[in-house]
Amino acid sequence: MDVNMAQLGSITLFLAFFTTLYVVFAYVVGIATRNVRLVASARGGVGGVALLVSLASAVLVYLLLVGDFKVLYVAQYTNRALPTLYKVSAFWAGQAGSLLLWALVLFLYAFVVAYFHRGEGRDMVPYASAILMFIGLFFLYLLTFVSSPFETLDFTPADGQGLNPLLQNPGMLIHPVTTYLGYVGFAVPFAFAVSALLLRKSGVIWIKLTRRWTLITWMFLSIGIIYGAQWAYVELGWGGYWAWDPVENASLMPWLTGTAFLHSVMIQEKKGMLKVWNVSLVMMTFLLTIFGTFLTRSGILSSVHAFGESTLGMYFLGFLALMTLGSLYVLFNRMEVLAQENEFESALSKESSFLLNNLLLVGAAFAVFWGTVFPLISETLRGVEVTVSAPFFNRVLVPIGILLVVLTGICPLIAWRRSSFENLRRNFLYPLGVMLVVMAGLAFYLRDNLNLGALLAYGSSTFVIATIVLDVLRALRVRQRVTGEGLVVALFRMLTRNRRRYGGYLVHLGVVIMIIGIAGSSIYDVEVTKTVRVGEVIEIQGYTLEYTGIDLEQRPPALQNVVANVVVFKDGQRLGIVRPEKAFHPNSEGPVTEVAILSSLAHDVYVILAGWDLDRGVATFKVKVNPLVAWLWFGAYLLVAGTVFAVWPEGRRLAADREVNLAIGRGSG
Amino acid sequence: MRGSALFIVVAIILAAVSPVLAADLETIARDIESSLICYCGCTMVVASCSCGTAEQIRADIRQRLAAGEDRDDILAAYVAQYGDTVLAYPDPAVPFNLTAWVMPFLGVAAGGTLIFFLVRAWVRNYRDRRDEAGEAEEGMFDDKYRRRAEEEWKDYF
Repeated sequence: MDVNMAQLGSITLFLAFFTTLYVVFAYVVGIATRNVRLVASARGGVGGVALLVSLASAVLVYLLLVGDFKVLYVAQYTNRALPTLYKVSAFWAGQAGSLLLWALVLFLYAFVVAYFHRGEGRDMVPYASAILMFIGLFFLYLLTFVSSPFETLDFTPADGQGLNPLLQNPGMLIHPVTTYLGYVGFAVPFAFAVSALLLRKSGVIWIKLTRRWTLITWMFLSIGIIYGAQWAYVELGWGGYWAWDPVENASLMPWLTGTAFLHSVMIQEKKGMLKVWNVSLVMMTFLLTIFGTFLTRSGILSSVHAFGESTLGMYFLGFLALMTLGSLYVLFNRMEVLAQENEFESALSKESSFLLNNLLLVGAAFAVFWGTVFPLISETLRGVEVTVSAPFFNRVLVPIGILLVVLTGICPLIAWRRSSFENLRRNFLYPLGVMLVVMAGLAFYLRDNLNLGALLAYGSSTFVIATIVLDVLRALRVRQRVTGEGLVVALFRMLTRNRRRYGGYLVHLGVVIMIIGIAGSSIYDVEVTKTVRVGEVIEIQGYTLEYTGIDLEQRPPALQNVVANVVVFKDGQRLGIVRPEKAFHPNSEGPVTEVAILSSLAHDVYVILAGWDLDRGVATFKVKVNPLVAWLWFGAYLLVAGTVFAVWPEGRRLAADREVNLAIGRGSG
Repeated sequence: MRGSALFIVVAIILAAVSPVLAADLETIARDIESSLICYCGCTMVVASCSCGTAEQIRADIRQRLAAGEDRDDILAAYVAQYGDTVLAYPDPAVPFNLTAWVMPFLGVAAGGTLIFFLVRAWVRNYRDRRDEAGEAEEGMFDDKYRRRAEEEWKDYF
């Protein structure tokens, strides 16, 4: 029965592959010959493939849940003792399963594009669908002929090898799915961008569609990145959340170029400029996702996230080359469509600040790319392996990052067209004053342990916050004066009338709060490693940690959990008990660290059980006090909330309210 | 008055930053830990790794510092023993590796230069067209911008 299910999975993927082949053919021929019926048939095929790939995914979930160890993938990534939730997350724990997740997300997006796209730009849908299905065809080829999750063994093992203990974390239920929703999602704006070029369109509709899709997928990628960081923080046990690992970098690069696009597209909207650049950014973002997948699949760079060495890397390299050449061909072939209007009035303007913002974002993406591939370049050209890790990225990206934060404050408030000294003075004098006062206060407060990077990070973040507050207060005052509304009503209506602007402010606020958290936790973290007996204490940064003993527990799928009990005090007051542990898993060479964290807005007390001796009654702990980590997570949630706020549809009632208010405004003005 | 307030604020910041530069042995040790990759296979810097190997390296670094070796001596000793990959960044003393450090900034500088010339050309082009059209120098609000202003007014209210 279960083997039949595996066969059903294989057959389903096989059918999906050939249906996709037909769909691509039908779209191309249908569009070329203007055959409406053929295009409609292709559209039906999109739905069919989405259904087939969903069915294949459901079959894999079933096989994982029932523990059919005759299926190689199930035997490799699950075992009987694995909790049900992690049996589900084993779906994307390995190479073949994660490819299936890629395909599933892509075909669901293609389905949404083909069936739910209404209104403007409908003529682009067949083109965009054809492109998405062509990308999907590549993934289905891999799943069908190269790396199938339904491959079976000649025998049925008594039990599976189990899931890597590091992946047995709730974050692994969210991080891969959201990362893929973002990562794969960038194929959609790419498809619309290429479609617009093929249709010789570069106007408002193109911007609207591409921008909206980019924003949504960018939000998912942001969530994916932040959950990946949280997973690293609570699971990897080194006290940090970002290690500049090649796979982490692979997710950051398209995020940076996507961010650049979301800003530069505003210049195209307002001024009809930078069309070539915007299309290039969308293409670059998509190609970087394929490049990132190549990095993860090829095993050419060592990474904690990589799936090990495989032949898949060459397929991805070939696909990357094909898509790059195809994109460049379309771009150059349709260059005349992208002729820009010229309305650049002054170098001192919002337009310039956006160009600088793009320069720094793309520069940061390039720095990450360069650092990630440099080991390969060195090995190829010099025959010498080198490592490029955190020290390189921190030194190169911190200056770029600080300049970007400063621009985050400047961009929204500097005038379009042409700024003046009066405009600059009006908008930036108070924020600069607040920034300098805060920097002076911090310099005094942190005088014994001051760090220039931290001072600049906090100063620039303060500047951004001050510009946002100032602008919101001014707009609120104007609105109240014009409409006569009360404070709360005016604030509510002001925010909801211009979701894009204030959503953007929320995102900016989230980013600077994250930067405050990152600067605090990476510069002012303190750690101590100490061996203590039961009843003895460890003192660190005003915290007192009392070791009260070890418990030996058994929590499957671990064979044994060695759990230390540590009571945490601050200024004599008991804050709580933390229980760091080492877990022994059958499928792990050494014990797996499970850290314990006592979190507050000011500090995280991060406790690792480094060693123990039951006979002597001693245990060794590595304790870190990481300041402001909670700010990083809070800022990230604010960023996501801001994006949701910005993309949320306005609704008819608001539009009607606007008309009323407009009338009131005219009346009182 | 405003100028002197600004001077005082900046002076406080500068005065506070200057003594930070003196580094003690523990700071140097942590810097070295952050510059070396743990060779246990975790691919993390020694400062981040909590395995037994990292503990040994940490102890060795402190021992060497206490014996009078400086940062560069210690890093060179590790590179001599474990190869270039033990260093967490491309050694800038090797000329080829300098490209790793310089390229990102060169890229930004090249992009910045391109933007500078582009913006200059665009602005000149705009002014030439405006002059040709005989528009007034300052304070012009053509119809297009007036329409846009009205649209934005609508957006807000």
